[in-house]
Amino acid sequence: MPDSATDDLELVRQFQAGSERAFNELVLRHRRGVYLTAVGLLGNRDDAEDVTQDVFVRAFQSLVGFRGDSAFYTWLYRITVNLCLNRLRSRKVRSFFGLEQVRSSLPEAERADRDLELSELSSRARRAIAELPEKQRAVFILRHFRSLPHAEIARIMDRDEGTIKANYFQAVRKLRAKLGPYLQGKE
Amino acid sequence: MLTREDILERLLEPYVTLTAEEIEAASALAARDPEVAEALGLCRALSGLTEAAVFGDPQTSDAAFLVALRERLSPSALPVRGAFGSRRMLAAVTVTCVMLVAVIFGGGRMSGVNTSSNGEGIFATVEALDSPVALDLDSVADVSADPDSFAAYLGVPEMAASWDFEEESDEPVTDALLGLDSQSLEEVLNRLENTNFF
Repeated sequence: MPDSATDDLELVRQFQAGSERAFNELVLRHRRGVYLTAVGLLGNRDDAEDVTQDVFVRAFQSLVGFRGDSAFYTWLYRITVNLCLNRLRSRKVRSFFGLEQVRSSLPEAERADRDLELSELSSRARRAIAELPEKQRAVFILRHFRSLPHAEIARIMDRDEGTIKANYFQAVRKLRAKLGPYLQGKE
Repeated sequence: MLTREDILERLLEPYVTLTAEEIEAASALAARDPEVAEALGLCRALSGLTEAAVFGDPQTSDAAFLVALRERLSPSALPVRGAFGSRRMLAAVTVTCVMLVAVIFGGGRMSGVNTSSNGEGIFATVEALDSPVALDLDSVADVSADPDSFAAYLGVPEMAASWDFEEESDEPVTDALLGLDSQSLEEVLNRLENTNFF
């Protein structure tokens, strides 16, 4: 993703010059990443779809003032994380989700297929991720799934890099503690 | 040269971020260090967790998402853009201009001040509706604008000599009545009381 940062900036410039097609391109590039980050944080696919829309609405409204001090995706994921954390706090969804919640939000026909597709590891991982504290969860998702450098995550989360690294390591240790026995048993 | 602690810390990171050198060093150390072996195994296993496998892909297609997004980005949600501002601002300015024009013309009508040719046309039409009464009165007044004819019209020709109308007016009847001294006015009113109009 960072490799496309320059292209993103060019699309931002085009959008700022009045090209809405450039904005559509930005949406298509980042929509999936924003959605997966949101569903990882919120644990609900419908909420994640809503937040993904919200993120791009905010982006559309604010992109005129984007100066390019940071990469576009850093800016975008900052919006994403903030909106997700706000939603979690406003709804007090502290208990987060389990596999059941994710499955229950799937259409019936898709659910059966999904049951077959989802590996036991994925199910356990989802539960384990769900039990992480919000900040650790966000850092883990951005680092592990989005492959963002700690420095970028620090900008997104508005924390120093050392704190982000510590959060990530704590998250990984917790996940290993929960998934370790299963992983070792499978090997 | 990576130390054992370095390798253990690096194995906490995503497997894909490890360099070939780090993987080689970790593998070599894992052969004789169970803790490193376990860390390396977990690191590899976690790398198999993709977000799509864990969380699933978006439920909507890109096209459906873009359509929904466009609906969300209705004119009311559009930002300030470019020299002309947002569509919302443009709409507000347009409405304000229309209202301003209406107020100017409407205000002009009420105050009797015409500010444009269009306004004059409109007000001329409206005034024409009132014109028959005004014309009738003025035609009478025109005839009786001088003291003699006015006195004759009122049925008191002998009083004409004592009346003095200073100048012509747009409202001669009113001015003539106001120009009467109190005694003359009382006399005129008395005559009018005794007049049978029908």
